[in-house]
Amino acid sequence: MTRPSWVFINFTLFLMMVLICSSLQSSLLHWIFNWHATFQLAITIAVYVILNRGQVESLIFTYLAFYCMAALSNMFEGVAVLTGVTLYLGLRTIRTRIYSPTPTHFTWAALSSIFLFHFLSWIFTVGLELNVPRAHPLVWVLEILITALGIKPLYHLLQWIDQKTNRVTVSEIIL
Amino acid sequence: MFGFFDFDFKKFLIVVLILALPLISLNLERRDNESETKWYQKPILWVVHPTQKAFTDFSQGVARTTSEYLNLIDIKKENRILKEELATIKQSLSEREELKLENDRLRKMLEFGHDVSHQMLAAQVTAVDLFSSEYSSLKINKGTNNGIKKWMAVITHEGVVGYVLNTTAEYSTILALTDRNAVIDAIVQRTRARGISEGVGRDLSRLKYLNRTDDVEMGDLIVTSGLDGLFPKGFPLGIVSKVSKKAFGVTQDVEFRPSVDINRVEEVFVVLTPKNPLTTPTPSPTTQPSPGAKAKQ
Repeated sequence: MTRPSWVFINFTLFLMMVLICSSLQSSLLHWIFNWHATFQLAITIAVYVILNRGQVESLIFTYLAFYCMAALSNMFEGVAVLTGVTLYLGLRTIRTRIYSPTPTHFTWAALSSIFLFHFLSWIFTVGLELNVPRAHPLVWVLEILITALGIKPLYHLLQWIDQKTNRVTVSEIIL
Repeated sequence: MFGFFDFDFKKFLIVVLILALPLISLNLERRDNESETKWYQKPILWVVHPTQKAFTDFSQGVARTTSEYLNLIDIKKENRILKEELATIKQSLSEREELKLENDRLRKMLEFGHDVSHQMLAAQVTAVDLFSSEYSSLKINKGTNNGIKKWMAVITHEGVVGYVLNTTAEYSTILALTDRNAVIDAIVQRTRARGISEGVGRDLSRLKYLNRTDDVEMGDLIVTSGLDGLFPKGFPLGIVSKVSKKAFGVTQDVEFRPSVDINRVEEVFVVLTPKNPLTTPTPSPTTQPSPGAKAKQ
């Protein structure tokens, strides 16, 4: 198969994983844990793509992934995409400074992104909506702690998928 | 010294453009009366809804099997207690039925309009909001193919869950009453003080626009007024948990806990034919009252 085909397959596969993980979070994990906090798998996958792909591909993926996540929520699509794009810009900036492609760095980047996603979406909602929501930082912290339990196996799984779809992780991209 | 002014204008423009696109889409986003999902959202939902239903069915199957085996020990004892309670409830129900019949006879005599039976559709909850810490919504496995439309009320035997926000052919999204964008016309059952229920989030709602002079106490039951045309009258919304009056102002703040635990609800009823007091015609004296609401699968 040609390289564009592998890129397309990999892109579609990751997008489907975001959809399936979002479905998993909002159904099975909710029935099991019955909490407001859950394993944030979808955002973790999006962070992986942002950190390990080229600029344009990761930007398009960010738009689509966060739009898909907003479709499963009452959150405005614009707020979700705006938050996702802000995360994208922040992660790409940090990537050129201090990031290295190791599980530890990825874990810190992903967990920070999960907290920042909730915080930034709350900020944007306060600024853009009439009805001011309440912030629940303790729930966000709990979500980070829960996600931290499963993030390393998820990282290795994503790396394995990249290897099987002949995607070399791009480690030297300048913003 | 002048290096401060040397920045990449092209990159700055790209960043501004990237951030502006979602903001523009927010402006273009219409929140109108369309009940059908937009065409570009359908592929996403076509993948997601069956997946959520499959996960939900699996988890409920496991939970059901486990509970059947673990609860066998207490079933016999519980059965005896429930039988005693049922006998008491049956007697109470019989007395209430008599009162209802008498009430209906008196209404007919006075030629008042009376409640018609509500046609309801049972549905299963397949998923909750993805970001449930800030938003409260549910997804059910019934849609426009089953006659569901936007703004239809959703209830359980315990009380109000919310109303239909969006529908597809097979699934619907329910805005729960604990969501901050959910508003329902409500009254305090004891004193008939009227207000607007608004979600606060995290299993809490509040009753707004209550007059400062209205009598509301902790433990009062909040019910639907039926005046918004969405909900049948008298359905429980919740129990008052906090009443606060400031030193100034014409209103008081009332918070209440919803009767229905939104996080644990598994089956709901969608009210297909709500009574609208502004449009429902007064029935003729020959019309017989129906024995309560009928549920259909």
